[in-house]
Amino acid sequence: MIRYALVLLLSLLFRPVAAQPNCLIYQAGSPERAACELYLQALELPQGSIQSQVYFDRVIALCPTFAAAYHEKSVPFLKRGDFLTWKKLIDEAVRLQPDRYLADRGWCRFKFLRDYRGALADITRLQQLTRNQPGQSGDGNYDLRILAALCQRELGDLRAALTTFDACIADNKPLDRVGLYDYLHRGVTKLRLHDYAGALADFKLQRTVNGKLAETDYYTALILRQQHQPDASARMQIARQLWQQGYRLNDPYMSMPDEISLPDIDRFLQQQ
Amino acid sequence: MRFYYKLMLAAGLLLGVQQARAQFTGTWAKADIPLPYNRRYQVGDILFDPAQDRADFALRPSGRIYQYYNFNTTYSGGRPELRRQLLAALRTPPAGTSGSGYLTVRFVVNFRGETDRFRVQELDSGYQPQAFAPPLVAWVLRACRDLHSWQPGRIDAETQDSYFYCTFIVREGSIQDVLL
Repeated sequence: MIRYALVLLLSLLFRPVAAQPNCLIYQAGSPERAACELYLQALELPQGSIQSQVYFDRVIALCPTFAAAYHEKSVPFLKRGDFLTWKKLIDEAVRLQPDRYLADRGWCRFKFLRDYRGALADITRLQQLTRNQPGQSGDGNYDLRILAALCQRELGDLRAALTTFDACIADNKPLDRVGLYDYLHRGVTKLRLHDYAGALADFKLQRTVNGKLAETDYYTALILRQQHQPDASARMQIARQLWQQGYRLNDPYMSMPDEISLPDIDRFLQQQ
Repeated sequence: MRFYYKLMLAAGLLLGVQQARAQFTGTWAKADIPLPYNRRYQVGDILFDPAQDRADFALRPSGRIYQYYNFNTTYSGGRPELRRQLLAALRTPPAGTSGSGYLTVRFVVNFRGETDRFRVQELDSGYQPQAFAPPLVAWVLRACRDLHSWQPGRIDAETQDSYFYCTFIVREGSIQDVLL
């Protein structure tokens, strides 16, 4: 009972998280105002239900330039694997309001489709529109410049990726805004470049941001084994423990960059 | 559940052959079916198609099929392990396949951890519809059907039915990666 009460309380608390426009900025009686008010009603309906889809269609019929409706209508298609419909809708939102929706399209291209080239193009265009301050990823975990660095890395340009990581971290560090996993991803990039000392230094920094993360210990153990250090197995055992306790990269929709699995850890331990 | 299928099919027939076909073959949600016929319909619902689906595929009597992300329907070892297994099974493509883009296989994982109602969406690298060579699609579908270590999501300790999908990145007829 207490659990249900907590869930209810939390869902009420987090309700304002859904992006809600201020409809009062539109002139009373205008199609924009009517569309906006209907849009707010549509947000109340379950995401992906036919009712909410019909509402968003009505919003679009009232005001075909109301970008938020295209975006919100697109979300369940993305989450349910219909990338054709998602892309048509999100493209329209971006066309109407690029400074608002390029971040979302870039993030989703990166996360759901590993379309690194497309994601990088979206973030680069957004950087031009926002004086190099593109904002955060949809889940709030990444500065989009870190995402750009990950795109460069996955496209094979590790040196350019490192430069982008460095610039973003240098920018955010004085503001105490280094991301939750920035050092981990930069460390893995250095690992791929065989810069083991640099990678270990980044994993050490990662522990100052987030002391319990299986991935940090997993990649540290890989380097320790490479260097024939005796404590590689012990480090991997720590990674295993953390993974089992749930201290790991995890996302409800897709695997995250540099995410590891329990079999990855076990294969390492069997090889020792 | 069956009542709703019939009702939606009947609605589709009333509204035209094109919509009826979409409903019957279980392609993606159609938002233009009037609500009174369609109240439980969700984006991405896959409707039963006797031509390609198992009639004895068991589903919970409630008829509610959730999404994998509602309660973490997953595979033994997690998604990285599922990716590893699929890539291992899809190393050597059938002869003569070509084309690049995204091949999405969507299906239902039932409360017993069995799968059925497989559907595919085929896109080119610019997100436009395209058709890959049928042997390539059949090969990928076979690899998905051969997965048997599903862990259905639970609500209050009771396993439930849910949709799941894997998107394959195809490069020149070969599987380059699996998005999970």
